[in-house]
Amino acid sequence: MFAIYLMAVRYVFLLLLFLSILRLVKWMVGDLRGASPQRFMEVQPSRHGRETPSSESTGGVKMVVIESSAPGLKPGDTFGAGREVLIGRGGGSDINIDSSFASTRHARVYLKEEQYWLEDLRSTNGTYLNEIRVKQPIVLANGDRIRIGEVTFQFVR
Amino acid sequence: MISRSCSRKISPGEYASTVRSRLTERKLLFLAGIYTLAGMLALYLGAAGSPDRQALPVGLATISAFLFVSMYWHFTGYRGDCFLLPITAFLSSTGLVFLFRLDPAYGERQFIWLLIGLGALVLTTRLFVDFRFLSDYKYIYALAGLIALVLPIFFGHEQGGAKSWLNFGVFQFQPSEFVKILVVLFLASFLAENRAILTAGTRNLGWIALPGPQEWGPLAAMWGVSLLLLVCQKDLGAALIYFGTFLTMVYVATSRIFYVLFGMGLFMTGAAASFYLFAHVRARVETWLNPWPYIDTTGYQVIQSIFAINSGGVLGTGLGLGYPKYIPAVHTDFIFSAICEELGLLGASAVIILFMLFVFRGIKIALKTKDDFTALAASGLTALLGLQAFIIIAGVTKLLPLTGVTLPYMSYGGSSLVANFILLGLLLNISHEAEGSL
Repeated sequence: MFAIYLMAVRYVFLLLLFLSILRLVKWMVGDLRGASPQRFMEVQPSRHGRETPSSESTGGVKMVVIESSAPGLKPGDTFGAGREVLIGRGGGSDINIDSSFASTRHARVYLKEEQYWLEDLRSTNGTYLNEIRVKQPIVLANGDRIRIGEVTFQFVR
Repeated sequence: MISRSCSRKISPGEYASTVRSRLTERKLLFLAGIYTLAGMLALYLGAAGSPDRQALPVGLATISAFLFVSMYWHFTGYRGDCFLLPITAFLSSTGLVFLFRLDPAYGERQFIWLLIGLGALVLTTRLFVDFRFLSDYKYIYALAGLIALVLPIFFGHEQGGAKSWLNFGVFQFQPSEFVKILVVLFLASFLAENRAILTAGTRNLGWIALPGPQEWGPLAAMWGVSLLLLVCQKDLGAALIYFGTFLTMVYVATSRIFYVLFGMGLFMTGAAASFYLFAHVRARVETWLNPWPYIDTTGYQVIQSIFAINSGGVLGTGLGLGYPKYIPAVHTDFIFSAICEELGLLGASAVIILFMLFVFRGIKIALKTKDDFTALAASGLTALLGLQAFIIIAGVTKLLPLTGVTLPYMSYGGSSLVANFILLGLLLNISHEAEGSL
Protein backbone atom coordinates (compact mmCIF):
# COMPACT_ATOMS: atom_id res chain seq x y z
CA MET A 1 0.00 0.00 0.00
CA PHE A 2 2.79 2.36 1.00
CA ALA A 3 4.61 1.58 -2.22
CA ILE A 4 1.57 2.58 -4.20
CA TYR A 5 1.37 5.92 -2.41
CA LEU A 6 5.03 6.47 -3.08
CA MET A 7 4.58 5.68 -6.75
CA ALA A 8 1.65 8.10 -6.88
CA VAL A 9 3.76 10.87 -5.34
CA ARG A 10 6.50 10.17 -7.91
CA TYR A 11 4.14 10.62 -10.82
CA VAL A 12 2.39 13.58 -9.22
CA PHE A 13 5.84 15.17 -9.17
CA LEU A 14 6.19 14.74 -12.94
CA LEU A 15 2.57 15.71 -13.58
CA LEU A 16 2.92 18.91 -11.56
CA LEU A 17 5.97 19.88 -13.59
CA PHE A 18 3.94 19.68 -16.78
CA LEU A 19 0.87 21.40 -15.36
CA SER A 20 3.09 24.25 -14.19
CA ILE A 21 4.76 24.56 -17.58
CA LEU A 22 1.33 24.66 -19.22
CA ARG A 23 0.33 27.46 -16.88
CA LEU A 24 3.59 29.30 -17.51
CA VAL A 25 3.14 29.10 -21.29
CA LYS A 26 -0.50 30.09 -21.05
CA TRP A 27 0.29 33.21 -19.07
CA MET A 28 3.21 34.08 -21.30
CA VAL A 29 0.96 33.89 -24.35
CA GLY A 30 -1.56 36.06 -22.49
CA ASP A 31 1.21 38.52 -21.73
CA LEU A 32 2.21 38.55 -25.39
CA ARG A 33 -1.37 39.17 -26.56
CA GLY A 34 -2.30 41.65 -23.87
CA ALA A 35 0.86 43.66 -23.92
CA SER A 36 1.70 44.17 -27.56
CA PRO A 37 -1.10 46.54 -28.64
CA GLN A 38 -0.64 48.52 -25.45
CA ARG A 39 2.95 49.29 -26.31
CA PHE A 40 1.84 51.58 -29.09
CA MET A 41 -0.88 53.20 -27.02
CA GLU A 42 1.48 54.48 -24.39
CA VAL A 43 3.27 56.91 -26.64
CA GLN A 44 6.46 58.32 -25.30
CA PRO A 45 6.65 61.98 -26.16
CA SER A 46 9.90 62.54 -27.98
CA ARG A 47 12.16 65.08 -26.44
CA HIS A 48 12.74 67.21 -29.47
CA GLY A 49 9.89 66.23 -31.71
CA ARG A 50 6.75 68.12 -32.64
CA GLU A 51 8.00 71.52 -31.65
CA THR A 52 7.99 73.44 -34.88
CA PRO A 53 10.87 75.87 -34.77
CA SER A 54 9.06 78.48 -36.81
CA SER A 55 11.62 81.13 -36.01
CA GLU A 56 14.31 79.13 -37.76
CA SER A 57 12.32 78.00 -40.74
CA THR A 58 13.12 79.70 -44.01
CA GLY A 59 10.42 80.12 -46.57
CA GLY A 60 8.04 77.57 -45.10
CA VAL A 61 10.12 74.49 -45.79
CA LYS A 62 8.63 71.59 -43.84
CA MET A 63 8.99 67.90 -43.29
CA VAL A 64 5.66 66.19 -42.73
CA VAL A 65 5.37 62.69 -41.32
CA ILE A 66 3.07 60.74 -43.61
CA GLU A 67 3.70 57.22 -42.36
CA SER A 68 5.02 56.06 -39.01
CA SER A 69 4.84 53.17 -36.62
CA ALA A 70 7.56 54.49 -34.35
CA PRO A 71 6.41 55.75 -30.96
CA GLY A 72 6.39 59.51 -30.65
CA LEU A 73 5.86 60.21 -34.34
CA LYS A 74 2.48 60.06 -35.97
CA PRO A 75 1.25 60.95 -39.45
CA GLY A 76 0.62 64.66 -39.68
CA ASP A 77 3.46 65.72 -37.40
CA THR A 78 5.26 68.60 -39.02
CA PHE A 79 8.82 69.76 -38.54
CA GLY A 80 10.08 73.04 -39.86
CA ALA A 81 13.46 72.86 -41.59
CA GLY A 82 16.08 75.42 -40.68
CA ARG A 83 19.60 75.54 -42.05
CA GLU A 84 20.21 71.99 -40.89
CA VAL A 85 18.00 69.23 -39.55
CA LEU A 86 19.58 66.19 -37.96
CA ILE A 87 17.45 63.06 -37.98
CA GLY A 88 18.34 60.20 -35.66
CA ARG A 89 17.61 58.25 -32.57
CA GLY A 90 18.21 59.92 -29.24
CA GLY A 91 18.11 63.36 -27.73
CA GLY A 92 20.87 64.90 -29.82
CA SER A 93 18.88 65.01 -33.03
CA ASP A 94 16.34 67.57 -34.21
CA ILE A 95 13.89 64.92 -35.34
CA ASN A 96 13.99 62.04 -32.92
CA ILE A 97 12.93 58.67 -34.31
CA ASP A 98 12.58 56.28 -31.42
CA SER A 99 12.94 53.09 -33.42
CA SER A 100 15.54 50.38 -33.64
CA PHE A 101 15.80 50.98 -37.38
CA ALA A 102 17.19 54.44 -36.87
CA SER A 103 20.85 55.05 -36.05
CA THR A 104 21.87 57.63 -33.47
CA ARG A 105 22.92 60.06 -36.22
CA HIS A 106 20.97 58.75 -39.15
CA ALA A 107 20.61 61.43 -41.77
CA ARG A 108 20.59 65.19 -42.20
CA VAL A 109 18.82 67.69 -44.36
CA TYR A 110 20.77 70.88 -44.89
CA LEU A 111 20.69 74.08 -46.88
CA LYS A 112 23.50 74.69 -49.36
CA GLU A 113 23.50 77.11 -52.27
CA GLU A 114 19.76 77.80 -51.94
CA GLN A 115 19.00 74.09 -52.23
CA TYR A 116 18.02 71.57 -49.64
CA TRP A 117 20.17 68.46 -49.60
CA LEU A 118 19.61 65.07 -48.00
CA GLU A 119 22.63 63.19 -46.73
CA ASP A 120 22.78 59.74 -45.16
CA LEU A 121 25.19 59.73 -42.19
CA ARG A 122 26.47 56.14 -42.58
CA SER A 123 23.30 54.85 -41.01
CA THR A 124 22.89 51.13 -40.36
CA ASN A 125 19.66 50.64 -42.22
CA GLY A 126 19.92 53.36 -44.78
CA THR A 127 17.93 56.41 -45.81
CA TYR A 128 15.64 56.15 -48.79
CA LEU A 129 14.60 58.97 -51.09
CA ASN A 130 11.53 57.93 -53.05
CA GLU A 131 12.44 54.31 -52.17
CA ILE A 132 15.96 54.60 -53.58
CA ARG A 133 18.80 54.30 -51.09
CA VAL A 134 20.72 57.52 -50.62
CA LYS A 135 24.44 56.98 -51.18
CA GLN A 136 25.66 60.53 -51.51
CA PRO A 137 24.11 63.93 -50.74
CA ILE A 138 21.21 64.57 -53.06
CA VAL A 139 19.05 67.63 -53.76
CA LEU A 140 15.49 67.55 -52.43
CA ALA A 141 12.50 68.65 -54.47
CA ASN A 142 8.99 69.51 -53.34
CA GLY A 143 6.99 66.38 -52.57
CA ASP A 144 9.97 64.03 -52.20
CA ARG A 145 9.49 61.17 -49.81
CA ILE A 146 12.24 60.43 -47.30
CA ARG A 147 11.99 57.06 -45.59
CA ILE A 148 13.96 55.99 -42.52
CA GLY A 149 12.99 52.59 -41.17
CA GLU A 150 9.25 52.61 -40.74
CA VAL A 151 8.92 56.39 -40.80
CA THR A 152 8.27 58.29 -44.04
CA PHE A 153 8.50 62.06 -44.32
CA GLN A 154 7.34 64.25 -47.14
CA PHE A 155 9.50 67.20 -48.01
CA VAL A 156 7.36 70.30 -48.61
CA ARG A 157 8.90 73.47 -50.01
CA MET B 1 20.60 52.89 -2.13
CA ILE B 2 17.12 52.14 -0.87
CA SER B 3 15.95 55.65 -1.47
CA ARG B 4 16.89 55.53 -5.13
CA SER B 5 14.22 53.16 -6.33
CA CYS B 6 11.61 54.19 -3.78
CA SER B 7 11.88 57.87 -4.45
CA ARG B 8 11.39 57.38 -8.18
CA LYS B 9 7.97 58.56 -9.16
CA ILE B 10 5.66 55.69 -9.95
CA SER B 11 2.38 56.53 -11.60
CA PRO B 12 -0.74 54.70 -10.33
CA GLY B 13 -1.09 52.73 -13.57
CA GLU B 14 2.54 51.73 -13.45
CA TYR B 15 2.19 50.71 -9.84
CA ALA B 16 -0.86 48.57 -10.67
CA SER B 17 1.00 46.78 -13.44
CA THR B 18 3.93 46.19 -11.10
CA VAL B 19 1.61 44.68 -8.52
CA ARG B 20 -0.06 42.54 -11.16
CA SER B 21 3.20 41.18 -12.52
CA ARG B 22 4.51 40.43 -9.02
CA LEU B 23 1.22 38.67 -8.30
CA THR B 24 1.65 36.53 -11.42
CA GLU B 25 5.16 35.79 -10.28
CA ARG B 26 4.01 34.71 -6.83
CA LYS B 27 1.27 32.47 -8.25
CA LEU B 28 3.83 30.75 -10.45
CA LEU B 29 6.27 30.46 -7.55
CA PHE B 30 3.50 28.90 -5.52
CA LEU B 31 3.07 26.26 -8.25
CA ALA B 32 6.82 25.72 -8.21
CA GLY B 33 6.54 25.26 -4.45
CA ILE B 34 3.90 22.55 -4.73
CA TYR B 35 6.02 20.83 -7.36
CA THR B 36 9.14 20.99 -5.20
CA LEU B 37 7.29 19.71 -2.16
CA ALA B 38 5.88 16.76 -4.15
CA GLY B 39 9.42 15.79 -5.11
CA MET B 40 10.73 16.32 -1.60
CA LEU B 41 7.80 14.37 -0.15
CA ALA B 42 8.71 11.41 -2.34
CA LEU B 43 12.27 11.57 -0.98
CA TYR B 44 10.97 12.06 2.56
CA LEU B 45 8.91 8.89 2.21
CA GLY B 46 12.00 7.04 1.09
CA ALA B 47 11.85 7.14 -2.69
CA ALA B 48 15.63 6.93 -2.86
CA GLY B 49 16.16 4.06 -0.46
CA SER B 50 16.37 5.45 3.04
CA PRO B 51 13.86 8.15 4.02
CA ASP B 52 15.44 11.58 3.97
CA ARG B 53 14.18 13.58 6.94
CA GLN B 54 15.74 16.80 5.75
CA ALA B 55 14.11 16.82 2.34
CA LEU B 56 10.78 18.37 3.31
CA PRO B 57 12.07 21.23 5.47
CA VAL B 58 14.66 22.10 2.82
CA GLY B 59 11.97 22.10 0.13
CA LEU B 60 9.82 24.42 2.22
CA ALA B 61 12.74 26.72 2.97
CA THR B 62 13.72 26.87 -0.69
CA ILE B 63 10.33 27.93 -1.88
CA SER B 64 9.87 30.41 0.97
CA ALA B 65 13.18 31.95 -0.03
CA PHE B 66 11.96 32.41 -3.61
CA LEU B 67 8.65 33.84 -2.40
CA PHE B 68 10.52 36.14 -0.07
CA VAL B 69 12.51 37.56 -2.99
CA SER B 70 9.28 38.19 -4.89
CA MET B 71 7.68 39.88 -1.86
CA TYR B 72 10.75 42.04 -1.44
CA TRP B 73 10.50 43.20 -5.06
CA HIS B 74 6.82 43.87 -4.53
CA PHE B 75 7.56 46.26 -1.70
CA THR B 76 10.37 48.07 -3.46
CA GLY B 77 8.29 48.54 -6.61
CA TYR B 78 10.65 46.51 -8.79
CA ARG B 79 9.33 46.07 -12.32
CA GLY B 80 11.53 43.21 -13.56
CA ASP B 81 10.12 40.42 -15.70
CA CYS B 82 7.65 38.24 -13.79
CA PHE B 83 8.37 34.94 -15.56
CA LEU B 84 12.12 34.59 -15.20
CA LEU B 85 12.19 33.99 -11.45
CA PRO B 86 9.54 31.22 -11.57
CA ILE B 87 11.35 29.53 -14.48
CA THR B 88 14.57 29.68 -12.48
CA ALA B 89 12.72 28.35 -9.44
CA PHE B 90 11.51 25.33 -11.41
CA LEU B 91 14.99 24.64 -12.76
CA SER B 92 16.85 25.05 -9.50
CA SER B 93 14.33 23.14 -7.41
CA THR B 94 14.41 20.26 -9.88
CA GLY B 95 18.18 20.33 -9.52
CA LEU B 96 17.88 20.41 -5.74
CA VAL B 97 15.45 17.47 -5.62
CA PHE B 98 17.80 15.44 -7.78
CA LEU B 99 20.84 16.35 -5.73
CA PHE B 100 19.05 15.23 -2.56
CA ARG B 101 18.11 12.05 -4.35
CA LEU B 102 21.71 11.42 -5.48
CA ASP B 103 23.39 12.31 -2.23
CA PRO B 104 21.84 14.35 0.61
CA ALA B 105 25.29 15.79 1.37
CA TYR B 106 25.36 17.45 -2.07
CA GLY B 107 21.76 18.54 -1.59
CA GLU B 108 22.50 20.30 1.67
CA ARG B 109 25.45 22.20 0.25
CA GLN B 110 23.51 23.10 -2.87
CA PHE B 111 20.70 24.40 -0.67
CA ILE B 112 23.12 26.73 1.09
CA TRP B 113 24.49 27.88 -2.28
CA LEU B 114 20.97 28.44 -3.53
CA LEU B 115 20.28 30.77 -0.59
CA ILE B 116 23.56 32.60 -1.29
CA GLY B 117 22.56 32.78 -4.95
CA LEU B 118 19.20 34.32 -4.09
CA GLY B 119 21.04 36.78 -1.85
CA ALA B 120 23.29 37.65 -4.80
CA LEU B 121 20.18 38.08 -6.95
CA VAL B 122 18.61 40.53 -4.49
CA LEU B 123 21.90 42.42 -4.20
CA THR B 124 22.24 42.61 -8.00
CA THR B 125 18.72 43.95 -8.42
CA ARG B 126 19.43 46.45 -5.67
CA LEU B 127 22.92 47.72 -6.50
CA PHE B 128 22.85 47.57 -10.29
CA VAL B 129 19.25 48.60 -10.78
CA ASP B 130 20.44 51.61 -12.73
CA PHE B 131 21.87 49.33 -15.35
CA ARG B 132 23.27 51.78 -17.83
CA PHE B 133 26.12 53.02 -15.66
CA LEU B 134 27.71 49.59 -16.12
CA SER B 135 28.56 50.53 -19.70
CA ASP B 136 31.18 53.02 -18.52
CA TYR B 137 33.66 50.48 -17.20
CA LYS B 138 34.32 48.23 -20.14
CA TYR B 139 38.10 48.11 -19.88
CA ILE B 140 37.81 47.33 -16.18
CA TYR B 141 35.73 44.28 -17.12
CA ALA B 142 38.31 43.24 -19.66
CA LEU B 143 41.09 43.61 -17.11
CA ALA B 144 39.20 41.91 -14.28
CA GLY B 145 38.22 39.10 -16.62
CA LEU B 146 41.80 38.57 -17.74
CA ILE B 147 43.10 38.52 -14.16
CA ALA B 148 40.40 36.08 -13.13
CA LEU B 149 41.32 33.81 -16.03
CA VAL B 150 45.06 34.00 -15.46
CA LEU B 151 44.99 33.39 -11.70
CA PRO B 152 44.02 29.71 -11.88
CA ILE B 153 46.92 29.02 -14.26
CA PHE B 154 49.37 29.94 -11.54
CA PHE B 155 47.46 29.24 -8.36
CA GLY B 156 44.72 26.92 -9.49
CA HIS B 157 44.48 23.20 -9.42
CA GLU B 158 43.21 20.82 -12.01
CA GLN B 159 39.90 19.11 -11.62
CA GLY B 160 38.21 16.94 -14.22
CA GLY B 161 40.77 17.77 -16.90
CA ALA B 162 40.27 21.53 -16.58
CA LYS B 163 42.60 23.76 -14.64
CA SER B 164 40.14 26.47 -13.76
CA TRP B 165 39.66 26.22 -10.03
CA LEU B 166 40.92 28.39 -7.21
CA ASN B 167 41.14 26.72 -3.85
CA PHE B 168 40.29 28.77 -0.78
CA GLY B 169 40.52 25.93 1.70
CA VAL B 170 36.90 25.91 2.82
CA PHE B 171 35.49 26.17 -0.66
CA GLN B 172 36.64 26.14 -4.24
CA PHE B 173 35.89 28.83 -6.67
CA GLN B 174 35.72 28.75 -10.44
CA PRO B 175 36.44 32.24 -11.79
CA SER B 176 35.50 31.39 -15.37
CA GLU B 177 31.84 31.24 -14.35
CA PHE B 178 31.95 34.92 -13.43
CA VAL B 179 34.24 35.94 -16.27
CA LYS B 180 31.46 34.97 -18.69
CA ILE B 181 29.28 37.78 -17.38
CA LEU B 182 32.17 40.24 -17.52
CA VAL B 183 32.82 39.25 -21.12
CA VAL B 184 29.20 39.92 -22.06
CA LEU B 185 29.24 43.33 -20.37
CA PHE B 186 32.53 44.23 -22.07
CA LEU B 187 31.29 43.17 -25.49
CA ALA B 188 27.95 44.92 -25.04
CA SER B 189 29.62 48.16 -24.12
CA PHE B 190 32.27 47.92 -26.82
CA LEU B 191 29.89 46.91 -29.59
CA ALA B 192 27.36 49.58 -28.63
CA GLU B 193 30.08 52.18 -29.04
CA ASN B 194 31.46 50.88 -32.32
CA ARG B 195 28.29 49.46 -33.83
CA ALA B 196 27.98 51.89 -36.68
CA ILE B 197 31.59 51.52 -37.81
CA LEU B 198 31.56 47.74 -37.58
CA THR B 199 28.35 47.64 -39.60
CA ALA B 200 29.31 50.01 -42.35
CA GLY B 201 32.98 49.21 -42.62
CA THR B 202 35.61 51.83 -43.39
CA ARG B 203 37.70 50.08 -45.96
CA ASN B 204 36.86 47.76 -48.78
CA LEU B 205 38.30 44.34 -49.39
CA GLY B 206 36.94 43.39 -52.75
CA TRP B 207 33.19 43.44 -52.29
CA ILE B 208 33.28 43.24 -48.50
CA ALA B 209 33.41 46.43 -46.48
CA LEU B 210 35.68 45.90 -43.50
CA PRO B 211 36.14 48.08 -40.46
CA GLY B 212 39.62 49.37 -39.72
CA PRO B 213 41.98 47.66 -37.29
CA GLN B 214 41.37 50.22 -34.53
CA GLU B 215 37.77 48.99 -34.32
CA TRP B 216 38.20 45.26 -34.44
CA GLY B 217 41.70 45.24 -32.97
CA PRO B 218 40.69 45.32 -29.28
CA LEU B 219 37.98 42.77 -29.98
CA ALA B 220 40.32 40.37 -31.70
CA ALA B 221 43.03 40.84 -29.07
CA MET B 222 40.61 40.23 -26.20
CA TRP B 223 39.40 37.23 -28.06
CA GLY B 224 42.72 35.70 -28.88
CA VAL B 225 43.94 36.09 -25.31
CA SER B 226 40.88 34.55 -23.70
CA LEU B 227 40.79 31.65 -26.15
CA LEU B 228 44.48 31.01 -25.59
CA LEU B 229 43.96 31.01 -21.85
CA LEU B 230 41.09 28.61 -22.15
CA VAL B 231 43.14 26.26 -24.27
CA CYS B 232 45.92 26.43 -21.67
CA GLN B 233 43.40 25.67 -18.95
CA LYS B 234 41.80 22.96 -21.10
CA ASP B 235 38.40 24.40 -20.37
CA LEU B 236 36.98 23.70 -23.82
CA GLY B 237 33.33 24.02 -22.90
CA ALA B 238 33.82 27.54 -21.65
CA ALA B 239 35.75 28.47 -24.81
CA LEU B 240 32.88 27.24 -26.95
CA ILE B 241 30.33 29.23 -24.93
CA TYR B 242 32.42 32.39 -25.10
CA PHE B 243 32.81 32.10 -28.81
CA GLY B 244 29.13 31.39 -29.47
CA THR B 245 28.07 34.33 -27.29
CA PHE B 246 30.60 36.55 -29.03
CA LEU B 247 29.27 35.68 -32.49
CA THR B 248 25.67 36.13 -31.38
CA MET B 249 26.38 39.57 -29.98
CA VAL B 250 28.33 40.69 -33.03
CA TYR B 251 25.46 39.56 -35.20
CA VAL B 252 22.90 41.33 -33.01
CA ALA B 253 24.97 44.50 -33.14
CA THR B 254 25.73 44.61 -36.84
CA SER B 255 23.16 42.30 -38.47
CA ARG B 256 25.90 41.27 -40.88
CA ILE B 257 25.97 37.56 -41.59
CA PHE B 258 29.51 37.95 -42.90
CA TYR B 259 30.89 38.24 -39.37
CA VAL B 260 29.08 35.08 -38.30
CA LEU B 261 30.33 33.09 -41.29
CA PHE B 262 33.83 34.44 -40.81
CA GLY B 263 33.70 33.58 -37.10
CA MET B 264 32.46 30.09 -37.81
CA GLY B 265 35.23 29.61 -40.34
CA LEU B 266 37.71 30.79 -37.74
CA PHE B 267 36.22 28.41 -35.21
CA MET B 268 36.38 25.46 -37.62
CA THR B 269 40.02 26.23 -38.35
CA GLY B 270 40.74 26.50 -34.64
CA ALA B 271 38.90 23.28 -33.91
CA ALA B 272 40.78 21.41 -36.63
CA ALA B 273 44.11 22.82 -35.44
CA SER B 274 43.47 21.88 -31.82
CA PHE B 275 42.40 18.41 -32.91
CA TYR B 276 45.89 17.85 -34.31
CA LEU B 277 47.76 19.84 -31.66
CA PHE B 278 46.24 18.73 -28.37
CA ALA B 279 45.95 15.13 -27.33
CA HIS B 280 43.07 15.80 -24.94
CA VAL B 281 40.99 17.36 -27.71
CA ARG B 282 41.68 14.43 -30.01
CA ALA B 283 40.68 12.00 -27.27
CA ARG B 284 37.41 13.89 -26.72
CA VAL B 285 36.47 13.80 -30.37
CA GLU B 286 37.36 10.14 -30.82
CA THR B 287 35.35 9.27 -27.74
CA TRP B 288 32.44 11.19 -29.16
CA LEU B 289 32.49 9.56 -32.59
CA ASN B 290 32.74 6.06 -31.20
CA PRO B 291 32.88 5.65 -27.44
CA TRP B 292 32.62 1.85 -27.41
CA PRO B 293 36.34 0.99 -27.77
CA TYR B 294 37.01 3.29 -24.79
CA ILE B 295 34.23 1.92 -22.61
CA ASP B 296 36.59 1.24 -19.73
CA THR B 297 38.38 4.57 -19.90
CA THR B 298 37.36 7.84 -21.53
CA GLY B 299 34.12 6.58 -23.02
CA TYR B 300 32.79 5.19 -19.75
CA GLN B 301 31.01 8.37 -18.69
CA VAL B 302 29.12 9.06 -21.89
CA ILE B 303 28.18 5.41 -22.36
CA GLN B 304 26.77 5.22 -18.84
CA SER B 305 24.87 8.41 -19.61
CA ILE B 306 23.36 6.88 -22.73
CA PHE B 307 22.45 3.72 -20.84
CA ALA B 308 20.72 5.85 -18.22
CA ILE B 309 18.79 7.85 -20.83
CA ASN B 310 17.73 4.67 -22.55
CA SER B 311 16.50 2.98 -19.40
CA GLY B 312 14.35 6.02 -18.62
CA GLY B 313 12.06 5.56 -21.58
CA VAL B 314 9.11 7.93 -21.94
CA LEU B 315 7.81 8.12 -18.38
CA GLY B 316 11.07 7.41 -16.59
CA THR B 317 11.75 4.86 -13.89
CA GLY B 318 10.31 7.18 -11.25
CA LEU B 319 12.20 9.37 -8.81
CA GLY B 320 14.74 7.28 -6.89
CA LEU B 321 14.28 4.10 -8.91
CA GLY B 322 17.04 4.49 -11.48
CA TYR B 323 20.76 3.87 -11.15
CA PRO B 324 22.22 7.25 -12.09
CA LYS B 325 25.15 6.81 -9.70
CA TYR B 326 26.93 4.69 -12.29
CA ILE B 327 27.61 7.88 -14.20
CA PRO B 328 30.72 9.69 -12.96
CA ALA B 329 30.07 13.38 -12.16
CA VAL B 330 26.33 12.79 -12.30
CA HIS B 331 25.74 15.56 -9.74
CA THR B 332 27.41 18.25 -11.84
CA ASP B 333 27.71 17.93 -15.59
CA PHE B 334 25.58 14.83 -15.97
CA ILE B 335 22.56 15.79 -13.89
CA PHE B 336 20.52 15.90 -17.09
CA SER B 337 21.14 12.18 -17.64
CA ALA B 338 19.82 11.44 -14.15
CA ILE B 339 16.69 13.44 -14.97
CA CYS B 340 16.32 11.55 -18.27
CA GLU B 341 16.56 8.26 -16.43
CA GLU B 342 14.15 8.96 -13.60
CA LEU B 343 11.68 11.37 -15.19
CA GLY B 344 12.02 9.97 -18.71
CA LEU B 345 11.53 11.77 -21.99
CA LEU B 346 8.75 13.83 -20.43
CA GLY B 347 10.85 15.20 -17.59
CA ALA B 348 13.82 15.83 -19.87
CA SER B 349 11.71 17.71 -22.40
CA ALA B 350 10.19 19.72 -19.55
CA VAL B 351 13.68 20.85 -18.57
CA ILE B 352 14.49 21.77 -22.17
CA ILE B 353 11.17 23.64 -22.47
CA LEU B 354 12.01 25.59 -19.32
CA PHE B 355 15.34 26.65 -20.78
CA MET B 356 13.62 27.62 -24.03
CA LEU B 357 11.11 29.73 -22.12
CA PHE B 358 13.98 31.41 -20.30
CA VAL B 359 15.64 32.26 -23.61
CA PHE B 360 12.31 33.45 -25.03
CA ARG B 361 11.82 35.88 -22.15
CA GLY B 362 15.43 37.02 -22.50
CA ILE B 363 14.96 37.83 -26.19
CA LYS B 364 11.70 39.59 -25.39
CA ILE B 365 13.50 41.75 -22.84
CA ALA B 366 16.21 42.54 -25.40
CA LEU B 367 13.56 43.64 -27.91
CA LYS B 368 11.94 45.99 -25.41
CA THR B 369 15.11 47.88 -24.56
CA LYS B 370 15.67 51.45 -25.65
CA ASP B 371 19.40 51.65 -26.25
CA ASP B 372 22.14 49.60 -27.81
CA PHE B 373 24.07 48.74 -24.67
CA THR B 374 21.15 47.22 -22.79
CA ALA B 375 19.84 45.45 -25.91
CA LEU B 376 23.25 43.89 -26.51
CA ALA B 377 23.72 43.00 -22.85
CA ALA B 378 20.30 41.34 -22.67
CA SER B 379 20.83 39.32 -25.83
CA GLY B 380 24.36 38.41 -24.78
CA LEU B 381 23.34 37.19 -21.33
CA THR B 382 20.47 35.21 -22.85
CA ALA B 383 22.71 33.68 -25.49
CA LEU B 384 25.23 32.80 -22.80
CA LEU B 385 22.73 30.90 -20.72
CA GLY B 386 21.03 29.24 -23.68
CA LEU B 387 24.32 28.14 -25.22
CA GLN B 388 25.59 26.75 -21.94
CA ALA B 389 22.42 24.69 -21.44
CA PHE B 390 22.53 23.52 -25.05
CA ILE B 391 26.20 22.54 -25.01
CA ILE B 392 26.00 20.41 -21.89
CA ILE B 393 22.67 18.79 -22.81
CA ALA B 394 24.06 18.04 -26.28
CA GLY B 395 27.22 16.71 -24.64
CA VAL B 396 25.57 14.23 -22.29
CA THR B 397 23.25 12.98 -25.04
CA LYS B 398 26.23 12.53 -27.39
CA LEU B 399 24.96 15.05 -29.93
CA LEU B 400 28.21 17.02 -29.56
CA PRO B 401 31.60 16.07 -28.12
CA LEU B 402 31.37 16.25 -24.37
CA THR B 403 32.70 19.44 -22.83
CA GLY B 404 32.58 19.91 -19.11
CA VAL B 405 30.26 22.77 -18.28
CA THR B 406 27.50 22.92 -15.72
CA LEU B 407 23.80 22.87 -16.52
CA PRO B 408 22.71 26.34 -15.37
CA TYR B 409 20.71 26.42 -12.11
CA MET B 410 20.57 22.62 -11.89
CA SER B 411 24.09 21.23 -11.57
CA TYR B 412 25.79 21.05 -8.21
CA GLY B 413 28.27 23.89 -7.84
CA GLY B 414 28.37 27.11 -5.92
CA SER B 415 30.25 29.32 -8.41
CA SER B 416 27.99 28.32 -11.24
CA LEU B 417 24.79 28.83 -9.25
CA VAL B 418 25.77 32.22 -7.84
CA ALA B 419 27.07 33.43 -11.22
CA ASN B 420 23.86 32.40 -12.93
CA PHE B 421 21.75 34.16 -10.33
CA ILE B 422 23.78 37.33 -10.91
CA LEU B 423 23.11 36.87 -14.64
CA LEU B 424 19.40 36.57 -13.87
CA GLY B 425 19.57 39.72 -11.76
CA LEU B 426 21.20 41.70 -14.59
CA LEU B 427 18.60 40.49 -17.07
CA LEU B 428 15.82 41.48 -14.66
CA ASN B 429 17.38 44.92 -14.20
CA ILE B 430 17.29 45.45 -17.95
CA SER B 431 13.61 44.54 -18.07
CA HIS B 432 12.96 46.75 -15.05
CA GLU B 433 14.41 49.69 -16.91
CA ALA B 434 12.61 48.87 -20.16
CA GLU B 435 9.26 48.67 -18.35
CA GLY B 436 9.95 51.85 -16.47
CA SER B 437 10.61 54.02 -19.48
CA LEU B 438 7.35 53.11 -21.19
